[in-house]
Amino acid sequence: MGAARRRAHADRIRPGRAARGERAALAEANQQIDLLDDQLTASKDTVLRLQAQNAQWGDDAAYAQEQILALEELTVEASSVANSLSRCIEGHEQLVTYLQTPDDYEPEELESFRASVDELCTAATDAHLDFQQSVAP
Amino acid sequence: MRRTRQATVAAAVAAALALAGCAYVPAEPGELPSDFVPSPTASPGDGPGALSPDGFTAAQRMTVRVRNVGCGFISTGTGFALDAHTLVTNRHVVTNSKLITVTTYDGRTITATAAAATTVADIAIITTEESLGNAFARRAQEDPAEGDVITVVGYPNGGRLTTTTGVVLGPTTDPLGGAVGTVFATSASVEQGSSGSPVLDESGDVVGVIYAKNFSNQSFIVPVSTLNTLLEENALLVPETPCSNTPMGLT
Repeated sequence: MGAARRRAHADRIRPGRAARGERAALAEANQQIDLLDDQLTASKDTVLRLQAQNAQWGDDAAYAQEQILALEELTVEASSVANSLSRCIEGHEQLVTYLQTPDDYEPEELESFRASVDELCTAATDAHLDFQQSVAP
Repeated sequence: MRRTRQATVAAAVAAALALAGCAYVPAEPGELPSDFVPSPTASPGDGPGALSPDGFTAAQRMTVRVRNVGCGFISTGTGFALDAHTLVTNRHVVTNSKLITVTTYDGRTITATAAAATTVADIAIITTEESLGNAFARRAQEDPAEGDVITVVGYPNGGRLTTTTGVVLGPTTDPLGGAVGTVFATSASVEQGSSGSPVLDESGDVVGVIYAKNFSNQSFIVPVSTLNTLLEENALLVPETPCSNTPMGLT
Protein backbone atom coordinates (compact mmCIF):
# COMPACT_ATOMS: atom_id res chain seq x y z
CA MET A 1 0.00 0.00 0.00
CA GLY A 2 2.85 2.33 0.85
CA ALA A 3 4.61 1.57 -2.43
CA ALA A 4 1.48 2.32 -4.41
CA ARG A 5 1.13 5.64 -2.65
CA ARG A 6 4.72 6.51 -3.44
CA ARG A 7 4.18 5.66 -7.09
CA ALA A 8 1.06 7.80 -7.20
CA HIS A 9 2.99 10.67 -5.61
CA ALA A 10 5.82 10.26 -8.11
CA ASP A 11 3.32 10.25 -10.97
CA ARG A 12 1.92 13.53 -9.67
CA ILE A 13 5.25 15.35 -9.37
CA ARG A 14 6.85 14.06 -12.60
CA PRO A 15 5.00 16.55 -14.93
CA GLY A 16 5.99 19.41 -12.63
CA ARG A 17 9.65 18.48 -12.86
CA ALA A 18 9.38 18.19 -16.64
CA ALA A 19 7.78 21.63 -16.83
CA ARG A 20 10.55 23.14 -14.70
CA GLY A 21 13.11 21.55 -17.01
CA GLU A 22 11.35 22.97 -20.06
CA ARG A 23 11.20 26.42 -18.48
CA ALA A 24 14.92 26.32 -17.73
CA ALA A 25 15.68 25.27 -21.29
CA LEU A 26 13.43 28.05 -22.59
CA ALA A 27 15.11 30.62 -20.39
CA GLU A 28 18.51 29.47 -21.66
CA ALA A 29 17.31 29.67 -25.26
CA ASN A 30 15.99 33.18 -24.64
CA GLN A 31 19.34 34.21 -23.23
CA GLN A 32 21.01 32.83 -26.35
CA ILE A 33 18.58 34.78 -28.53
CA ASP A 34 19.27 37.98 -26.57
CA LEU A 35 22.99 37.40 -26.94
CA LEU A 36 22.66 36.80 -30.68
CA ASP A 37 20.49 39.93 -30.97
CA ASP A 38 23.19 41.95 -29.25
CA GLN A 39 25.85 40.46 -31.52
CA LEU A 40 23.78 41.19 -34.62
CA THR A 41 23.19 44.77 -33.49
CA ALA A 42 26.90 45.24 -32.83
CA SER A 43 27.80 43.72 -36.20
CA LYS A 44 25.34 45.95 -38.05
CA ASP A 45 26.67 48.97 -36.19
CA THR A 46 30.21 48.03 -37.22
CA VAL A 47 29.17 47.57 -40.86
CA LEU A 48 27.49 51.01 -40.91
CA ARG A 49 30.45 52.65 -39.17
CA LEU A 50 32.94 51.12 -41.59
CA GLN A 51 30.73 51.96 -44.55
CA ALA A 52 30.58 55.60 -43.44
CA GLN A 53 34.37 55.68 -42.93
CA ASN A 54 34.89 54.10 -46.32
CA ALA A 55 32.60 56.65 -47.96
CA GLN A 56 34.34 59.55 -46.18
CA TRP A 57 37.72 58.26 -47.32
CA GLY A 58 36.26 58.08 -50.82
CA ASP A 59 35.28 61.75 -50.49
CA ASP A 60 38.76 62.61 -49.25
CA ALA A 61 40.34 60.65 -52.10
CA ALA A 62 38.09 62.40 -54.63
CA TYR A 63 39.00 65.77 -53.10
CA ALA A 64 42.71 64.89 -53.21
CA GLN A 65 42.33 63.79 -56.83
CA GLU A 66 40.74 67.13 -57.68
CA GLN A 67 43.57 68.92 -55.89
CA ILE A 68 46.09 66.94 -57.92
CA LEU A 69 44.28 67.87 -61.13
CA ALA A 70 44.28 71.51 -60.04
CA LEU A 71 48.00 71.40 -59.30
CA GLU A 72 48.68 69.72 -62.63
CA GLU A 73 46.78 72.49 -64.42
CA LEU A 74 48.65 75.05 -62.36
CA THR A 75 51.96 73.47 -63.33
CA VAL A 76 51.04 73.54 -67.01
CA GLU A 77 49.95 77.17 -66.72
CA ALA A 78 53.13 78.14 -64.83
CA SER A 79 55.22 76.39 -67.43
CA SER A 80 53.42 78.28 -70.19
CA VAL A 81 53.97 81.63 -68.44
CA ALA A 82 57.65 80.82 -67.85
CA ASN A 83 58.01 79.91 -71.52
CA SER A 84 56.43 83.21 -72.60
CA LEU A 85 58.74 85.21 -70.34
CA SER A 86 61.71 83.25 -71.62
CA ARG A 87 60.76 84.03 -75.21
CA CYS A 88 60.41 87.70 -74.25
CA ILE A 89 63.96 87.71 -72.83
CA GLU A 90 65.28 85.92 -75.90
CA GLY A 91 63.60 88.53 -78.10
CA HIS A 92 65.19 91.34 -76.15
CA GLU A 93 68.61 89.70 -76.37
CA GLN A 94 68.17 89.28 -80.11
CA LEU A 95 67.13 92.92 -80.42
CA VAL A 96 70.24 94.01 -78.50
CA THR A 97 72.36 91.94 -80.89
CA TYR A 98 70.71 93.59 -83.91
CA LEU A 99 71.17 97.04 -82.42
CA GLN A 100 74.89 96.45 -81.98
CA THR A 101 75.21 96.46 -85.76
CA PRO A 102 72.29 98.64 -86.87
CA ASP A 103 73.81 99.37 -90.24
CA ASP A 104 73.40 95.75 -91.24
CA TYR A 105 69.57 96.08 -91.11
CA GLU A 106 66.87 98.24 -92.58
CA PRO A 107 65.45 100.63 -89.94
CA GLU A 108 61.91 99.41 -90.77
CA GLU A 109 62.98 95.83 -90.12
CA LEU A 110 64.46 96.75 -86.76
CA GLU A 111 61.37 98.73 -85.81
CA SER A 112 59.12 95.84 -86.80
CA PHE A 113 61.21 93.39 -84.79
CA ARG A 114 61.15 95.68 -81.76
CA ALA A 115 57.35 96.02 -82.02
CA SER A 116 56.87 92.23 -82.12
CA VAL A 117 59.19 91.77 -79.13
CA ASP A 118 57.18 94.39 -77.25
CA GLU A 119 53.95 92.60 -78.15
CA LEU A 120 55.37 89.25 -77.04
CA CYS A 121 56.60 90.71 -73.74
CA THR A 122 53.28 92.46 -73.08
CA ALA A 123 51.43 89.17 -73.58
CA ALA A 124 53.94 87.36 -71.35
CA THR A 125 53.60 89.99 -68.62
CA ASP A 126 49.80 89.83 -68.80
CA ALA A 127 49.89 86.00 -68.57
CA HIS A 128 52.25 86.28 -65.60
CA LEU A 129 49.92 88.72 -63.83
CA ASP A 130 46.91 86.52 -64.50
CA PHE A 131 48.78 83.55 -63.12
CA GLN A 132 49.83 85.44 -60.02
CA GLN A 133 46.24 86.44 -59.42
CA SER A 134 44.97 82.88 -59.92
CA VAL A 135 47.34 81.49 -57.27
CA ALA A 136 46.88 84.37 -54.84
CA PRO A 137 45.31 83.16 -51.58
CA MET B 1 -49.58 -1.41 -40.30
CA ARG B 2 -47.66 1.04 -38.16
CA ARG B 3 -44.98 -1.57 -37.34
CA THR B 4 -44.56 -2.34 -41.07
CA ARG B 5 -43.93 1.38 -41.91
CA GLN B 6 -41.33 1.68 -39.16
CA ALA B 7 -39.54 -1.40 -40.44
CA THR B 8 -39.53 0.00 -43.98
CA VAL B 9 -38.07 3.34 -42.83
CA ALA B 10 -35.39 1.58 -40.76
CA ALA B 11 -34.43 -0.56 -43.72
CA ALA B 12 -34.20 2.50 -45.98
CA VAL B 13 -32.01 4.38 -43.48
CA ALA B 14 -29.77 1.34 -43.07
CA ALA B 15 -29.42 1.04 -46.84
CA ALA B 16 -28.66 4.74 -47.15
CA LEU B 17 -26.03 4.58 -44.42
CA ALA B 18 -24.51 1.53 -46.04
CA LEU B 19 -24.35 3.29 -49.43
CA ALA B 20 -23.04 6.43 -47.87
CA GLY B 21 -20.44 4.45 -45.99
CA CYS B 22 -19.25 2.79 -49.18
CA ALA B 23 -19.19 6.12 -51.03
CA TYR B 24 -16.93 7.83 -48.47
CA VAL B 25 -14.25 5.21 -48.09
CA PRO B 26 -11.10 7.08 -49.15
CA ALA B 27 -8.86 5.78 -51.87
CA GLU B 28 -5.70 4.10 -50.71
CA PRO B 29 -2.78 6.54 -50.84
CA GLY B 30 -0.03 5.84 -53.34
CA GLU B 31 3.64 5.39 -52.64
CA LEU B 32 5.35 8.38 -51.03
CA PRO B 33 7.69 10.18 -53.46
CA SER B 34 11.34 9.66 -52.63
CA ASP B 35 12.75 12.50 -54.78
CA PHE B 36 10.70 15.41 -53.40
CA VAL B 37 12.71 18.58 -52.79
CA PRO B 38 10.74 21.34 -51.07
CA SER B 39 11.18 24.86 -52.46
CA PRO B 40 10.58 27.95 -50.33
CA THR B 41 7.68 30.12 -51.41
CA ALA B 42 9.02 33.23 -49.65
CA SER B 43 12.55 34.39 -48.98
CA PRO B 44 13.51 36.37 -45.88
CA GLY B 45 14.87 38.98 -48.28
CA ASP B 46 11.51 39.58 -49.95
CA GLY B 47 9.84 42.92 -49.47
CA PRO B 48 11.27 46.20 -48.18
CA GLY B 49 10.44 45.33 -44.58
CA ALA B 50 12.12 41.97 -44.65
CA LEU B 51 15.49 41.16 -43.18
CA SER B 52 18.39 39.77 -45.16
CA PRO B 53 20.79 37.25 -43.68
CA ASP B 54 23.05 40.14 -42.66
CA GLY B 55 20.28 41.72 -40.59
CA PHE B 56 19.65 44.81 -42.72
CA THR B 57 16.20 45.65 -44.00
CA ALA B 58 15.49 45.79 -47.70
CA ALA B 59 14.92 49.55 -47.31
CA GLN B 60 18.46 49.93 -45.97
CA ARG B 61 19.90 47.67 -48.65
CA MET B 62 18.25 49.53 -51.52
CA THR B 63 19.40 52.95 -50.26
CA VAL B 64 22.72 54.25 -51.56
CA ARG B 65 24.95 57.23 -50.85
CA VAL B 66 25.54 59.41 -53.93
CA ARG B 67 28.79 61.37 -54.39
CA ASN B 68 28.90 64.09 -57.01
CA VAL B 69 32.37 65.22 -57.96
CA GLY B 70 31.41 68.37 -59.79
CA CYS B 71 33.19 71.31 -61.30
CA GLY B 72 34.77 72.94 -58.28
CA PHE B 73 32.88 71.05 -55.58
CA ILE B 74 32.13 67.66 -54.07
CA SER B 75 28.67 67.02 -52.65
CA THR B 76 26.76 64.03 -51.35
CA GLY B 77 23.16 62.90 -51.47
CA THR B 78 21.06 59.78 -51.23
CA GLY B 79 19.36 57.55 -53.77
CA PHE B 80 17.47 54.28 -53.91
CA ALA B 81 17.51 51.38 -56.33
CA LEU B 82 14.61 50.76 -58.67
CA ASP B 83 16.34 47.73 -60.15
CA ALA B 84 19.86 46.30 -60.35
CA HIS B 85 21.13 49.11 -62.59
CA THR B 86 18.79 52.07 -62.02
CA LEU B 87 18.38 54.36 -59.04
CA VAL B 88 16.40 57.48 -58.17
CA THR B 89 17.78 60.62 -56.56
CA ASN B 90 17.25 64.38 -56.78
CA ARG B 91 18.14 66.49 -59.78
CA HIS B 92 20.09 68.91 -57.59
CA VAL B 93 22.22 66.00 -56.31
CA VAL B 94 23.56 65.23 -59.79
CA THR B 95 23.58 68.73 -61.31
CA ASN B 96 26.85 70.10 -62.68
CA SER B 97 28.59 66.77 -62.17
CA LYS B 98 31.83 65.48 -63.60
CA LEU B 99 31.74 62.07 -61.93
CA ILE B 100 28.99 60.37 -59.95
CA THR B 101 29.71 57.41 -57.70
CA VAL B 102 27.35 55.59 -55.37
CA THR B 103 28.19 53.61 -52.26
CA THR B 104 25.97 50.79 -51.03
CA TYR B 105 25.09 50.13 -47.38
CA ASP B 106 27.83 47.48 -47.20
CA GLY B 107 30.57 49.72 -48.61
CA ARG B 108 30.64 48.82 -52.31
CA THR B 109 31.47 51.80 -54.53
CA ILE B 110 29.91 51.88 -57.99
CA THR B 111 30.49 54.43 -60.74
CA ALA B 112 27.44 55.81 -62.51
CA THR B 113 27.38 55.53 -66.26
CA ALA B 114 24.69 58.14 -66.95
CA ALA B 115 22.24 60.48 -65.31
CA ALA B 116 18.99 61.97 -66.57
CA ALA B 117 16.90 64.63 -64.92
CA THR B 118 13.63 66.45 -65.40
CA THR B 119 12.57 70.04 -65.01
CA VAL B 120 9.08 69.26 -63.71
CA ALA B 121 10.34 67.94 -60.36
CA ASP B 122 13.56 67.57 -58.40
CA ILE B 123 14.07 64.03 -59.63
CA ALA B 124 16.93 62.36 -61.50
CA ILE B 125 17.59 58.82 -62.64
CA ILE B 126 21.08 57.35 -62.47
CA THR B 127 22.15 54.21 -64.31
CA THR B 128 25.07 51.95 -63.46
CA GLU B 129 26.81 49.12 -65.23
CA GLU B 130 27.66 47.24 -62.04
CA SER B 131 24.77 45.76 -60.09
CA LEU B 132 23.42 47.79 -57.18
CA GLY B 133 22.38 44.66 -55.27
CA ASN B 134 19.21 42.69 -54.91
CA ALA B 135 16.91 44.93 -52.88
CA PHE B 136 14.73 47.30 -54.87
CA ALA B 137 12.04 49.87 -54.18
CA ARG B 138 8.40 48.90 -54.34
CA ARG B 139 6.52 52.00 -55.44
CA ALA B 140 3.11 52.77 -54.01
CA GLN B 141 0.33 53.54 -56.45
CA GLU B 142 -1.13 56.39 -54.43
CA ASP B 143 0.30 59.42 -52.70
CA PRO B 144 0.40 59.45 -48.91
CA ALA B 145 -2.45 61.05 -46.97
CA GLU B 146 -2.21 63.65 -44.24
CA GLY B 147 -1.36 61.95 -40.95
CA ASP B 148 0.28 58.90 -42.49
CA VAL B 149 3.35 57.66 -40.64
CA ILE B 150 6.44 57.61 -42.84
CA THR B 151 10.03 56.39 -42.60
CA VAL B 152 12.97 58.09 -44.29
CA VAL B 153 16.18 56.16 -44.97
CA GLY B 154 19.23 58.13 -46.02
CA TYR B 155 22.72 59.47 -45.45
CA PRO B 156 22.30 62.83 -43.63
CA ASN B 157 25.44 64.98 -43.92
CA GLY B 158 27.04 62.21 -45.96
CA GLY B 159 27.47 60.20 -42.76
CA ARG B 160 26.00 56.92 -41.56
CA LEU B 161 22.94 55.28 -43.04
CA THR B 162 20.14 56.58 -40.85
CA THR B 163 16.44 55.81 -40.47
CA THR B 164 14.07 58.49 -39.21
CA THR B 165 10.30 58.61 -38.89
CA GLY B 166 7.71 61.33 -39.23
CA VAL B 167 4.18 62.12 -40.25
CA VAL B 168 2.82 63.50 -43.51
CA LEU B 169 1.64 67.06 -42.82
CA GLY B 170 -0.21 67.42 -46.10
CA PRO B 171 0.10 68.66 -49.68
CA THR B 172 1.62 72.05 -50.37
CA THR B 173 3.29 74.03 -53.12
CA ASP B 174 7.00 73.70 -53.76
CA PRO B 175 8.78 76.04 -51.28
CA LEU B 176 11.62 76.38 -53.79
CA GLY B 177 9.22 77.19 -56.60
CA GLY B 178 10.74 74.82 -59.14
CA ALA B 179 8.33 71.90 -59.15
CA VAL B 180 5.23 71.60 -61.26
CA GLY B 181 2.31 70.30 -59.23
CA THR B 182 1.92 69.42 -55.60
CA VAL B 183 4.58 68.32 -53.15
CA PHE B 184 4.07 67.08 -49.59
CA ALA B 185 5.39 68.43 -46.29
CA THR B 186 6.39 65.99 -43.54
CA SER B 187 7.65 66.20 -39.98
CA ALA B 188 10.58 63.85 -40.65
CA SER B 189 13.86 65.50 -39.77
CA VAL B 190 16.40 65.51 -42.60
CA GLU B 191 19.75 67.15 -43.28
CA GLN B 192 21.91 68.03 -46.24
CA GLY B 193 22.89 64.72 -47.77
CA SER B 194 19.40 63.31 -47.20
CA SER B 195 18.29 64.65 -50.57
CA GLY B 196 17.00 61.76 -52.67
CA SER B 197 16.10 59.61 -49.68
CA PRO B 198 13.19 57.21 -50.15
CA VAL B 199 10.11 57.93 -48.07
CA LEU B 200 8.37 54.71 -47.08
CA ASP B 201 4.89 54.07 -45.76
CA GLU B 202 4.10 51.58 -43.03
CA SER B 203 4.04 48.67 -45.46
CA GLY B 204 7.46 49.57 -46.85
CA ASP B 205 6.26 51.01 -50.15
CA VAL B 206 7.96 54.15 -51.47
CA VAL B 207 5.50 57.06 -51.30
CA GLY B 208 7.91 59.88 -52.07
CA VAL B 209 11.44 61.26 -52.39
CA ILE B 210 12.97 63.79 -49.98
CA TYR B 211 14.23 66.93 -51.73
CA ALA B 212 14.15 69.91 -49.35
CA LYS B 213 13.69 71.14 -45.80
CA ASN B 214 12.76 74.45 -44.19
CA PHE B 215 13.86 76.36 -41.10
CA SER B 216 11.03 74.78 -39.09
CA ASN B 217 12.73 71.42 -39.65
CA GLN B 218 9.95 70.21 -41.91
CA SER B 219 10.96 68.15 -44.91
CA PHE B 220 9.43 68.19 -48.38
CA ILE B 221 8.91 65.23 -50.66
CA VAL B 222 8.22 64.68 -54.32
CA PRO B 223 5.15 62.41 -54.22
CA VAL B 224 5.26 58.94 -55.71
CA SER B 225 2.58 59.84 -58.27
CA THR B 226 5.03 62.32 -59.83
CA LEU B 227 7.80 59.72 -59.74
CA ASN B 228 5.55 57.11 -61.35
CA THR B 229 4.57 59.53 -64.11
CA LEU B 230 8.21 60.39 -64.81
CA LEU B 231 9.18 56.75 -65.01
CA GLU B 232 6.34 56.07 -67.43
CA GLU B 233 7.12 59.14 -69.58
CA ASN B 234 10.77 58.76 -70.52
CA ALA B 235 10.58 61.86 -72.71
CA LEU B 236 10.41 63.98 -69.55
CA LEU B 237 13.88 62.81 -68.52
CA VAL B 238 16.73 64.62 -70.25
CA PRO B 239 20.31 63.27 -70.08
CA GLU B 240 22.58 65.39 -67.91
CA THR B 241 25.64 66.83 -69.64
CA PRO B 242 28.85 66.48 -67.62
CA CYS B 243 30.40 69.81 -66.74
CA SER B 244 33.75 70.77 -68.21
CA ASN B 245 36.81 69.97 -66.17
CA THR B 246 37.33 72.77 -63.68
CA PRO B 247 39.25 71.34 -60.76
CA MET B 248 38.70 72.69 -57.30
CA GLY B 249 40.96 75.54 -56.30
CA LEU B 250 40.77 77.37 -59.61
CA THR B 251 37.22 78.65 -59.38
